[in-house]
Amino acid sequence: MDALLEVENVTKSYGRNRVLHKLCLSVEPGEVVVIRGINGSGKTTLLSIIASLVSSDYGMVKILGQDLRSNPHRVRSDLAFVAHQPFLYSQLTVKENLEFFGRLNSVDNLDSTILEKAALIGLSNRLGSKIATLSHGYIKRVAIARALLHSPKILLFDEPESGLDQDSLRLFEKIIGDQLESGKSIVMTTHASQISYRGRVRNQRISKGMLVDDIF
Amino acid sequence: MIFFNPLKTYFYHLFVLVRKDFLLEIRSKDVILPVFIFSLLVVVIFNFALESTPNTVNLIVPGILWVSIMFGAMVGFNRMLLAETEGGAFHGLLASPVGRDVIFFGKVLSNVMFLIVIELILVPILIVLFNVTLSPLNMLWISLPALFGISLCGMLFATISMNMRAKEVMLPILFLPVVVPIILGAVESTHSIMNGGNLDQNLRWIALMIVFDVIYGVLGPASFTMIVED
Repeated sequence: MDALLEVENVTKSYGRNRVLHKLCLSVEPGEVVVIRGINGSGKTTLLSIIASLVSSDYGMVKILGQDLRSNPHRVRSDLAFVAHQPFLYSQLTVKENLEFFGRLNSVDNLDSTILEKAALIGLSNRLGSKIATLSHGYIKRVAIARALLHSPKILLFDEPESGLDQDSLRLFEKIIGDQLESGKSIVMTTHASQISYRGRVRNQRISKGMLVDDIF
Repeated sequence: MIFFNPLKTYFYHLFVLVRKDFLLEIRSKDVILPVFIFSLLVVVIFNFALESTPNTVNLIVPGILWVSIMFGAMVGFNRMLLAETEGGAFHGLLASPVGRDVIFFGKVLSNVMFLIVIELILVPILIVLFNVTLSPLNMLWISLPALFGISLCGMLFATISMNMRAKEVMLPILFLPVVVPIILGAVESTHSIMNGGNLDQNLRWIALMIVFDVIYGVLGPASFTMIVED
C-alpha cells in the first residue's frame, strides 16, 4: 500500500542540541502511529516539521508523494495539526473561528460542515461562545473540530489526551476510530501508557533523535 | 474547493484575513483605540512643547502629523501580533494552505486601514489645534504610499522582533532608522501642499515613497517567510 506520509532522514538541531537525527517514518492509510518519548526528545518538533511550522535542517517530508518544500500549499491542505496550543482566536466565537479556518481551507458548504463537525464533537450549543469563555476541555474540542473541518488525509495530534476528561477522551477515541475507518492516517504523540483505538496502531518511541519500535 | 483560479484564491484569502482582523478589532479594540490615544497624546504634547506662530505653523504641523502616526503605528504593530500569538493562532494560520506572503500582505493591509482611520481622526484635530488647511484629496495621494511604507516595514520588523526577549525595544531600534525615507517624503510633500503646492510639485517625494514600498513589498514577504519558518 502507498504511504500517505513519508518522512525521510529528517534532522533538526537547536543550536548545538541535535533533537532529530536522520529520522524516518512512513504512515499508511488507516494507520495510527503513536509516538512516545521523554520530555525534550523531539516529539513536538517532529510534528511541527511535518505540519511545516518548523523547517528541518536536512531531510524530506512527503504527503501523497508530494514534497512539502516544493508544493507547500497543496501538502498543507491534506494536513491538520492539533497541538498543545489551540491555534484559535480567543476573542472570536467558536463559529467565527471555524468559519475563518474553514474559509482559509476553502471548505465547501461551510455552514453545514461547521454544524456537522460541531454536533460530532459536542459543540452544537457552544457555537456562539467566545473561546476566552470556554474551559480547557471545550477549547480542545474546538481545536479538534477545526482540524476535522477540511477533512484532511493526515491528522497530527500532540498529546491530545491532556486536559480531556473521561467523557471527552471516549469521544476523542471514537472520532479517531471513525477517521481511521475512513482511510485517514494519524500521527500522535502521547505520554499515556494505554490507548485503545479501532484500527491499526503502531507504537514508536523517539530515542536519540530516531524512531524505534516501542515494546511494552 | 471553492476557487480554482490562483489569483482569485489569493485575493479571497487576503479578504478573509483582513476581515478577521477587523472582526478581532471590533471585539477587542486592541489596536485602533491605543494607537489613537498614543498618537493624540503625541500631538497634544507637541502642541504644548512647540510654540507655533502663524509663520512657523506650516513648518511644524507636517512633522507632528507624521511623527505621531509613526509612533502610534509602532504601538499598533505589537498589538496586532499579540492577538495572533495568543493561543497560538498564528501557527494555525501558518499550518493552513495559505501562502506566507498572503498572511504578510493581509496584516499589512489591515494595518494600513487602521492607520487610515487614525489619520482621518487626527487630521481634523490638527486643523483645529493649529488652524491650518489641508486638502483631503492631496493628502490621500501622500498618505497611501506613506502608510503602506510604514506598514510594510513595520510588520516585517515586528515579526523579526516578535520572539525576541526585548521586543518592545528592538522594534523601534530596527524600524525607525529604516523608515526615514517614508517620513521624509511624507513630511516634505505635506509641507509643500500646506504651502499651496500641488501634487505635480511633489511627484519626486511620492515616487520616493512608492519605490520604498516596492522594495519592501518584495523584501517583506520573502523575509517574513524565512522568519516564520525558522
